[in-house]
Amino acid sequence: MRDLLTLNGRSKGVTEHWALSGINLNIPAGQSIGLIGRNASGKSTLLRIIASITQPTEGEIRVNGRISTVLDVQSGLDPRLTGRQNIFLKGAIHGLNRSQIQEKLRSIIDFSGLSEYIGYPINTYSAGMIIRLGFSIAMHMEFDILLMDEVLSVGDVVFQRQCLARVREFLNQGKTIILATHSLSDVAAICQRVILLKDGRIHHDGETENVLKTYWQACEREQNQIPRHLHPFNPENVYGTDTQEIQICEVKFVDAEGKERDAFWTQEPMTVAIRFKSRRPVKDPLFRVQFFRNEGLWVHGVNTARVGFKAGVLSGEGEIVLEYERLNLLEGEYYVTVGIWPDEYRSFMTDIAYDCHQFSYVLRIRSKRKDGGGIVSNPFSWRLTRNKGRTVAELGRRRP
Amino acid sequence: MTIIRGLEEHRHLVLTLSVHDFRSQYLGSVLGFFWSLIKPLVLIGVYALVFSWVVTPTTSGQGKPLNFGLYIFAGMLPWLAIQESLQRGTTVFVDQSHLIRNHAIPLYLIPFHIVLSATVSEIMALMVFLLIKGLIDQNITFHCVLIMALIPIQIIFCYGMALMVATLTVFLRDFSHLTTTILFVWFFTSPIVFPLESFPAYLQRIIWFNPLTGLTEIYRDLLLVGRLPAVLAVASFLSFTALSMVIGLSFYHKARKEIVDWV
Repeated sequence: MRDLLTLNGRSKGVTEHWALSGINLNIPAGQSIGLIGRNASGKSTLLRIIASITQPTEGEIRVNGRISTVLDVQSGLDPRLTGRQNIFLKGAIHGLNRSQIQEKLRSIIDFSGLSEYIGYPINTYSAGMIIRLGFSIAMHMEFDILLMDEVLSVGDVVFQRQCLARVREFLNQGKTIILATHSLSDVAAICQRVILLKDGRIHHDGETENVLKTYWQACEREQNQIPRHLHPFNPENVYGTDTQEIQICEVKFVDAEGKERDAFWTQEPMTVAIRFKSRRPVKDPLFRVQFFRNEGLWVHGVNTARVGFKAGVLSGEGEIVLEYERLNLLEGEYYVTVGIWPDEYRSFMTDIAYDCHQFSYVLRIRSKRKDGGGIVSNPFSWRLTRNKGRTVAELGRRRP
Repeated sequence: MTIIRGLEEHRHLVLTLSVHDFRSQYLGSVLGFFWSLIKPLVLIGVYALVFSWVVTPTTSGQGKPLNFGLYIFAGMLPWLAIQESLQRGTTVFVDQSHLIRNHAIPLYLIPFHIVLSATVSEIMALMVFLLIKGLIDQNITFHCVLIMALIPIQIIFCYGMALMVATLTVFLRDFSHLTTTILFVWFFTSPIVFPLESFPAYLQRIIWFNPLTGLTEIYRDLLLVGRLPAVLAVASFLSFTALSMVIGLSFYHKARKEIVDWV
């Protein structure tokens, strides 16, 4: 496949990029396949090649049976035509003639739930209605092999369920379905086999559960590794820092032995040490420390004002420490914001800080399996308090 | 051959596309598809007035605006179809990129529906022509029916050219503007608003290298004069039709695999 390289909005020539390579697949009839992988991993290209919309640069593809594609539910619909006319148009694109469509018309309209509006031009429809119409048409075509690209999760929840039911019906009829999607729940609900594509190659191919596990773990690992400068929630100078009467000089994460570290285990004690310097004496400033996940979720934050801690008048250099007896954060990377503010309420209203280092420090947390999953580890224990069956003691008594 | 089989197999799709295309062009306007008649008729009227009253062509023996109007009308008929096929043909792949990228339909079908829809417009204009001519001189000969035999050939001619420009525009969008420009020049270098005889002698021969010369002559012979067309005109147009198809197909076959990636 070639992509047109665009520079400054003008095409500057052609560069070779293999959207797919080394793909070797055999899909038996009646199987339901999920194609997963990150954006630009080649899912859609693979579908287009199977559908022979795109020709492979090298290699060959052999298909037994009629293919129907639902790569884009809206394509082939003309906004100026009515819903009914569009059913005939799209049906023709799918290779049906007028009488065949006439037969299915009732069922398509019923499936879409749009019978009231079917005589109006679809440019009067809402986006969701158009998608429902497109999908309903596609779901009524005749095929042995159905290719779908990220289209199952359309419409409202009721419609989605209706679609899933329809797809299961196809599977019961022994049809082959290939579904490219980001929705792992769709994959889990429909597919027996999952193919994980990465950079145009088959990275994993196997039973749904195994592949989903691999994929999920890889995603998590990657999520934890996004470099900060690429981060969508990138932070510098969100707050005005024009009144730097007092400045943050250094922030350190220190362990129980007093050593600086950037990685801690869940449940370990940790101290945040903030060194500061004031140019003028400042009375009772507010110190705030916040922890964020890399997707921007604010996990935890504290400040001195809420606990009534008064620092007094600060002048010159100094250090303040925030001590955690036990870190209850779970595995992942956390971005730490440290700020010195005039007082609590003004800090909310004006965003004017003495000094604020947004997301400037990275804290890596590692967990053990027993700490649980998610982002926080609350201290916990398990205990069985009721059991409808007999107690072990009773069982022991009955045994001869 | 594959193309003929493809058209046969997908005839339903092509027809539906043409009908919807024709319909959606004029959807929402009060006069609807009558616009497809009004526009060319006004154009023909203006040309007839300008070239019979304002500028008098040297050998327009007809003199009267009405007769000259019919003269231009007859010549304009094939031009209407050719112009629309080419003008809309250039962007057809690009316009239908949604269809091309998401459905496995043979690409060569797509320009065909434009040609069909353009031909339908022409046929309706032809009906109006026959009506007017009947009113004016009550002289419609059976030759008019022969036009129906010419139209399939003309469709092939338009299709070859449309296939070529559609393919070229995919790779270089400039072709759509270039086509507009060339069409303009082509119109005035063809014997449509000027009778063939009004061209200078040294051009009389060269002008037969213009595919429209033969076609226009055939139309005028059949519709206006009521006689069988000259062998030269028929042979010329048939060879241009073959040439157009060869060029169109060779461009298309060369680029076929790449089109999807470029639209």
